[in-house]
Amino acid sequence: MFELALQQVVNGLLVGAIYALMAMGLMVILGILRIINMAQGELYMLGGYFCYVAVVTLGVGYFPAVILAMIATAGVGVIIDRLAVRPLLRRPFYMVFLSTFAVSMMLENGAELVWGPDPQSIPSPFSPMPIVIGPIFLTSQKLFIFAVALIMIAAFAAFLRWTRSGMAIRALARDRDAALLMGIDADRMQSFTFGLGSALAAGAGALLGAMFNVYPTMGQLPLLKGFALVVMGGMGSVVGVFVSGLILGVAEGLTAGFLSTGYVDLVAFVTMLAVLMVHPEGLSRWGKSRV
Amino acid sequence: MRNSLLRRMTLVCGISALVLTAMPAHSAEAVKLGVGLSMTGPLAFLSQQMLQGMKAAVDNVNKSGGVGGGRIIDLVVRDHKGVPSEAVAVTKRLIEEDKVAIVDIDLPSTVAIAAEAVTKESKVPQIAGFTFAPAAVKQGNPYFFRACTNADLIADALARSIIDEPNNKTIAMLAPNDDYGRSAIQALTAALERLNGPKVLYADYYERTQSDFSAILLKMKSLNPDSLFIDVRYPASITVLKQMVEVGLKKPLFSSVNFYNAKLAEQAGPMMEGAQLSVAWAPVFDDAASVEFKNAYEAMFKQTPDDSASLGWTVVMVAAHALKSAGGTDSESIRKALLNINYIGPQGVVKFDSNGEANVAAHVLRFKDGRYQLVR
Amino acid sequence: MSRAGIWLLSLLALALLPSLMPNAYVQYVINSSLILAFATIGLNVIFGYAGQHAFGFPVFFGVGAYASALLATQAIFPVGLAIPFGSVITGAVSAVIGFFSFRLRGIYFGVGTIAFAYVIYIIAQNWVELTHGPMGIPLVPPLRLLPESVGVVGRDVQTRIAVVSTIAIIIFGLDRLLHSPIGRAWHAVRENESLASSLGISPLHYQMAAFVLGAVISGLGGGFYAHYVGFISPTELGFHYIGVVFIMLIAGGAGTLPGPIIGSVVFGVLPELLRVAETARNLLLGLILLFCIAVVPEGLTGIWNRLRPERKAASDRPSVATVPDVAAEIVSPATQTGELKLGGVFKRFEGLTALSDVTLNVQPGEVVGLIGPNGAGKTTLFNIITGMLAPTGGDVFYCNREIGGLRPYSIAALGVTRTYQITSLFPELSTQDNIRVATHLRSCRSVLAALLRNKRFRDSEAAIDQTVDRILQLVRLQSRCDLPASALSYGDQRRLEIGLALATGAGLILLDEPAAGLNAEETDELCDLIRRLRAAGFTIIVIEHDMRMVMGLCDRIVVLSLGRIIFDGTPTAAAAHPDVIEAYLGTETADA
Repeated sequence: MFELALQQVVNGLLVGAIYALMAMGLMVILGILRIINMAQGELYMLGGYFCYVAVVTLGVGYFPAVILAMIATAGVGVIIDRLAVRPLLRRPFYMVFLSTFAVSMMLENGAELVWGPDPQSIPSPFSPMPIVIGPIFLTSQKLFIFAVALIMIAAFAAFLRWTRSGMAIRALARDRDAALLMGIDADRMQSFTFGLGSALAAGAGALLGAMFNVYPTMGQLPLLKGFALVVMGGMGSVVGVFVSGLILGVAEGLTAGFLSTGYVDLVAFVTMLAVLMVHPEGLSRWGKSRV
Repeated sequence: MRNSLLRRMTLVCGISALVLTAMPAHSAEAVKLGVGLSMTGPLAFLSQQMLQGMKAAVDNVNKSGGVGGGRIIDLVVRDHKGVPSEAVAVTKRLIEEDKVAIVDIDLPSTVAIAAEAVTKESKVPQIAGFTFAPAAVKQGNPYFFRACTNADLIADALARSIIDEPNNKTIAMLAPNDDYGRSAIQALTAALERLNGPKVLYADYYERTQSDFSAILLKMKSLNPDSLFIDVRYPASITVLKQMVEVGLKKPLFSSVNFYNAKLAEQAGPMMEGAQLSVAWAPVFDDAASVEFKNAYEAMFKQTPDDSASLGWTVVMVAAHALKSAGGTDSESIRKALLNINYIGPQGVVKFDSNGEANVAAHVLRFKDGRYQLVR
Repeated sequence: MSRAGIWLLSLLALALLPSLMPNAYVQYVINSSLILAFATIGLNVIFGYAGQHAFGFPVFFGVGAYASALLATQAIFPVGLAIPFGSVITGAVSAVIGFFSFRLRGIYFGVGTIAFAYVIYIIAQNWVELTHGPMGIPLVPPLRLLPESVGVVGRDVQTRIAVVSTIAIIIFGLDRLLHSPIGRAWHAVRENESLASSLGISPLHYQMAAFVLGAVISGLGGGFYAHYVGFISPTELGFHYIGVVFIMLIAGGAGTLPGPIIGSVVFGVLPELLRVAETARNLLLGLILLFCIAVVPEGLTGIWNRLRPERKAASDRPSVATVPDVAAEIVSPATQTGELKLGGVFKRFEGLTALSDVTLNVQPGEVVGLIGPNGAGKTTLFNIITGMLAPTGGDVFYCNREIGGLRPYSIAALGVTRTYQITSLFPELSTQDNIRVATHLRSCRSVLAALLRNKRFRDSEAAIDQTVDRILQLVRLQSRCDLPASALSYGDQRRLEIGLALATGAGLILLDEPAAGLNAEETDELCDLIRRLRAAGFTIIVIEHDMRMVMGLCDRIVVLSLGRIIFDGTPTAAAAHPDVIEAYLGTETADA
């Protein structure tokens, strides 16, 4: 029983890191633009598919393929921002929700038309033979993904904290008008933010896509779970979202291990709803939340 | 902004118009078979294979004289996306608009059952070729006929193999969380109990969208069963097999036709070694009906047919036989003809009882040395 | 042709014309679209009328389908009872979900409803004992209005007649609700929730009402659906429905009466009729939604309204014609008036003490001026008295009842109202409708009365019409009574605000810088009005910076500085008091 729990915990940590990576992109877009980008899940999906295309069709190695996928998806994100988000910023915010929802429908259907509805797998350069540490079974692939996710998240946190652009993003999120007065180019930062958020989601998709499969609807659940993480972790806190991701991963693993797999997805939602009941404004950290 | 959106919309509309699926051309002397399959959605691959089997059968029938009176058969295919309410719409459309004589709505079982409400009311014969749910023949629909095996028979065949496995006292099970998976586990559990087989320690269901099975596999490992029933669809099956290795779970493996897959064998062969699976049919069958089927299919598609294709072939053949002996294309004649047929197909004898059940037995294969071999 | 006539004709056409269609499949498509219209109408109630973006709302359609199917198959209810009972169950479920969801603010509300929708889906998938899980519920009995032996009228036609009749009844009821205090309250909550609250409208109450009503309507549709299709599975609760229903609503015209029906019929039937590539359906639907949002947010109904010649404004009543703007009689306050007592009130915000030890008594019929430097805490004090903020300590009594910490609408009901520093109105509504909304506390708010239009209701509405007329005359806005409030000039808007305050019937009125931006003539008019109000028995507290006005008008002056009261007495004494001079007035200069 203990071994089972321990293994579930370790597993959960790995999955949780990926969730956190996915949620980072959402957090940055939500924080600045005050909208939920309903297409975030599809950006995650595109990241997976671009990686697949790069590896299988273009013959690129797996690691550069991930980078390529992130760049390509960042481009898609900027396009979405220009076409579906920018023109609607003056309208009530649910308009942007609906427009990004429309974009997500289109991207999902589009992916289905281009690559077919069946899952595709990205050939992975890792061996499936387990690395056994005591009672724990690990694989080199999982360790690699965990490491990469950690690096990306840390890099992102450093970016936000220490670079000029990062500070600009935080300033815009805290108080848009003041930031504008300081001379920050909101338009450029917005596109940049969207691209950044998309790249993070794509990274998660490409990493996970190699471990599992890519299919057109793979973005639906991660979007909602990512949002749950942003709510629980706090709007501006990289550490908060990361830790929440780990906790969610572990909670899901334990649920699957000790209850039933069917209810695993409930964990994220029930936890999010529970947090919101106690903190109806969410746990926001950028500063005053105007959401 | 407005202009660019309008332009984009026109462009997409134009492209969409070009992508229109054209209705197959038919001659005036054609009897139509209405087919509803899951052309999009998770069962798209199986539907595709089944449709190919049907087309091979249609070709075969039409080349050897049609269904009597110079008439040929024609397929009208519609996509219900695997959604029961869509299947109802599709069935109505086939009956009212396309004016088909017989319908076949398959994949998954829920769509066949949903369609029964329509065929019962409209009194149109419905033959199911890929519907395993036991409930399908319990809808009180005299126009429904199941030409394939069913979950109970599948479970029965596999249960015997499970019992034959030495030192097999306990078993853990995993299946999809849909009607197929739930009936599969229900039937297998009942069969094992009936035949005094191994005790079921644990049964769980995975969601279609699930991609990580380590938690569930770990749970199974901790229970230490003597064998495993892992009925997972492709390509999740590859992930499961890989993760079983990663988790260190190695036990005698039992599964269903979901493990009968060339790509799976190619990518995960060694991990499947020794696994036994229940199927309706496999290319290793060498009876006359199977040979005829294989030859016709290979001639048309240049590839070896699989389980799903054979089911498609059988359904069309059954329909064709019924039409030949029916004399007319009205529902009553066809129905009477179906009740009377005795057709020997690749899976076995198809003869319907009063409930419309053909009771076609299932078979078991073993995957050994990279090949599938017949066990029973 | 009158509105009612157009409706009747359209509904009859919907009910009967499809029978002329060439084949039964097309009838099936039309019927399905009409049934889905229930979900769209339900969504319109919560989203279009009450303005709450409950994104997961369409799940109630599926809940109704399951409830009705289970009642009919497990509990053996006759279909005719299963459907309405199913919708009642849906309403109960929605009440629970609404209770939790409305605790959330902003985006979280919308996402919370999606989370709840997903939870319902997972329960349906996994609680096999109740819902049969993924295997679904087969053999759902069909709806039959006539016994089977009477084969003349087919089941399709029977269903359609039942559906259209039910839609007609719902539309009729909704129309009546919309033209009643309830509909006005919904509009108010949608346009300006905090203003609505301070006018005595409890936002939560009306939001919940819309939520449950919308769910009941959706659930009704779900019931029809279950008995029409004959098979229910968890896909009915799935996510693709959300997108489709939203598209139908927005493209049809959110917030309008015919919008949801038009949207459902058009977008239910269109893809089938055009036979566009089925694989690209979502792609096209997404494109259509984008197009609508970007270019035609008011949907098809909006386009239609734009094309028609400009009709009279929203109100059905003839506007008061060429009566000159004569100041009318002021009627005494509708609620009892009494003493306002603040005892030791203090307010702290995370380290900043905005008010400390504020003790103040205001007698009925007084006009008290509240002055002080900017940032002294005057508006904060108003906010505490009217309930927008709760005091951190101390108590507030009005008419010997403790009001400190109560909600704004409760306090408004006790007879306290206010105007705002920054104009707060309902910009989309006409001038007279703004005032009409503010009469909420005096109106007959019963749902039953609104639906039945009984004598009590009609009398109440007539009395309200009179009140609105009178107030329009009082604030001299009769000639502009049909203009939207956003089109009024600044001075007119400020007068309208006072009109709103009077409409509530409150006896204690707090005016926050009412003279800001007014010229000398308008300021004198304002003072005149305030004097007349005092004569009629109102109690007024006014925050002002115009010293001439304050000194000449008020019985008493209270001076606030840095959160404390530094003076409370007559105007003359105030002008001479050294503390007041130092903190605020400064020494006498030539241009006082």
